[in-house]
Amino acid sequence: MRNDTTQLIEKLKSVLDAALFLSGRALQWNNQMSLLGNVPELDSMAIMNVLSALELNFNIMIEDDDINADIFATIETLAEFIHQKQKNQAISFA
Amino acid sequence: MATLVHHLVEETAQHKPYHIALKYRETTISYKQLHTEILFFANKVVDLSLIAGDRIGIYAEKRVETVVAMLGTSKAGCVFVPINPLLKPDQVAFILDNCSISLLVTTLDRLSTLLNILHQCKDLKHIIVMADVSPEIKFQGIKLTLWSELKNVTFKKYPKIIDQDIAAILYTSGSTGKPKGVILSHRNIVAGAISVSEYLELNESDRLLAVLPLSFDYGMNQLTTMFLVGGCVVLMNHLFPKDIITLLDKEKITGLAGVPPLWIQLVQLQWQDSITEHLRFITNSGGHMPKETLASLRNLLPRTKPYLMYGLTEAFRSTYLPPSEIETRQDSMGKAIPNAEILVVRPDGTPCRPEEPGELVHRGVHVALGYWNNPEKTAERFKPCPMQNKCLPITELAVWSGDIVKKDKDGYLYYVGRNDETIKTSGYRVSPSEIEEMFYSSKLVVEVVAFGVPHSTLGHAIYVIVKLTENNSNLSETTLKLECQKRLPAYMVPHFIEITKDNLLRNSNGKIDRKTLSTSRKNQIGDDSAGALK
Repeated sequence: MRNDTTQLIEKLKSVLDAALFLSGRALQWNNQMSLLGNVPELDSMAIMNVLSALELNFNIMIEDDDINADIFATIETLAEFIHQKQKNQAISFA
Repeated sequence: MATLVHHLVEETAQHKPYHIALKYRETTISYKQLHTEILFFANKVVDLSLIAGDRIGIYAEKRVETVVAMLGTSKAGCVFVPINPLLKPDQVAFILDNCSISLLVTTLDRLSTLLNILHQCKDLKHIIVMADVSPEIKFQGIKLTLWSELKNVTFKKYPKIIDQDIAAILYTSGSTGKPKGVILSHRNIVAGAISVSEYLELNESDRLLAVLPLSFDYGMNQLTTMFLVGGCVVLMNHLFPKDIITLLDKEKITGLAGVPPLWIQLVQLQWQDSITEHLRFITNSGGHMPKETLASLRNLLPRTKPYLMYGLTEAFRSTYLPPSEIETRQDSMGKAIPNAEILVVRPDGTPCRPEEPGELVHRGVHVALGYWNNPEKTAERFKPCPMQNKCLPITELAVWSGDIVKKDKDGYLYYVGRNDETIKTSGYRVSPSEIEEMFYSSKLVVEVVAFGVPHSTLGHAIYVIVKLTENNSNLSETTLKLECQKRLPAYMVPHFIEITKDNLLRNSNGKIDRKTLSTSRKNQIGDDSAGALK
């Protein structure tokens, strides 16, 4: 389980890096680093790119009602959100 | 009475030391604490041997340190240059260089985005990072200081300044060329705060939610007005509009300032009925609020007073429409704010008759000191005030806005259009040539023209026509758009990119004919281009 989380976080960083054109900067991020406001590339326009990249790469559906600032607080909170999504959607498909 | 920007906090800290000045996430700061933090910052600036009038750039999202740095700069007699946190490294480099910034205050992650451009900024000697651990970065000739090192309370000898001195430089675009730094005196900023808080009837029980960037006059006003009256500013960096509504409710906010695209997003969401019980007023500036949006807002917020405002950075704030007039004149931008005079004049400076379109000219204490190191552009916008008394021997300067308006017989003003090619989008002014330069520097295009086309939610949408270089002739609109997103702040990314194989149309001087091209595309798109936008 622990290993899964680490993998998910590493993948998440590379997805964010590509979606926001960070040229590798995201790979160096600390998992507790604040995303909201602190990453200049993450603005209201780029968030659309990010959401579709997350849907595509993690095979999840993100509804407008799902998302808010708390989810984008840090890498960890975002990873937890994706993890929960994957779990719930796996159940609903079963 | 407050005459300098930092007095706004100092005076309130004396009278109401334990009132809450700022809230950001779970942190609350009283006026007394804020004042202490401002002294810490100012002391460090003095320690770093900066002298009165030196420029300090502040590049960060909204957070307590950003506010402290702005006011601390004022306390140290220096000039603060707030840099829009949406700007990308190239634009930040331009500003750092243009006004010779000697100290940059920023966050760790933003600093890491600037590594490749800092060598271009010859005057930069110091960086203060909003962090408590030292990053493993070394710069030649630049000294790094951590925010956690700002702890020195011992009294310093601060430079003596007066309200005519420069307090801030705010960068804004015009119709041509690079952004220009509007120079604001302490008097401009303090007078702006007094004027706005008078007509909004602000008081110490107000709680303002600051969602607008602090890097332009309307956004900075969120702070200065609240500090003047002793109210509380709740800082917010939002990604999703619905988080704004959540915070309005949670923080029992009494006032919110926005721009049209934000209101358009907000009216599409669910609002708790209770919000209008505490939300005393909302203000709009940075463009005309569409009728339907205003109607929806009034419906969602029946007890909240809407104020429609107009201003340009060069004159800080200019007009507002009192809520009592909104029923009868909702298209109007209102009348002059207290202590300003707004004239509508013909090109020769003679006054227009009622209903006759003319240029809006602003005179009074809010008129800025010009554009930084740019006498030519300053002379175009800051010109002799029309109708000056002949016996008054010293020429008074007023701001000629470039906006065409008309006055009705009761003196209410209505926006007609602009007499130059500035694109007004999402509450920002964008220069077509700044977008064109980005395309040229990408080396993907041989020819490019940018202009604004009318758009129902943004004011203007940005339309670009390009001819690609031979090597890149296979590129798609999508690829070009991605390139723009990489290099431009979101509000400057074009909404329409048209690729053509031909050379662009020329005018009789042999220049690309922006006027004819833009007129033909405007007619093609029609008035409502919302459908083409996602």
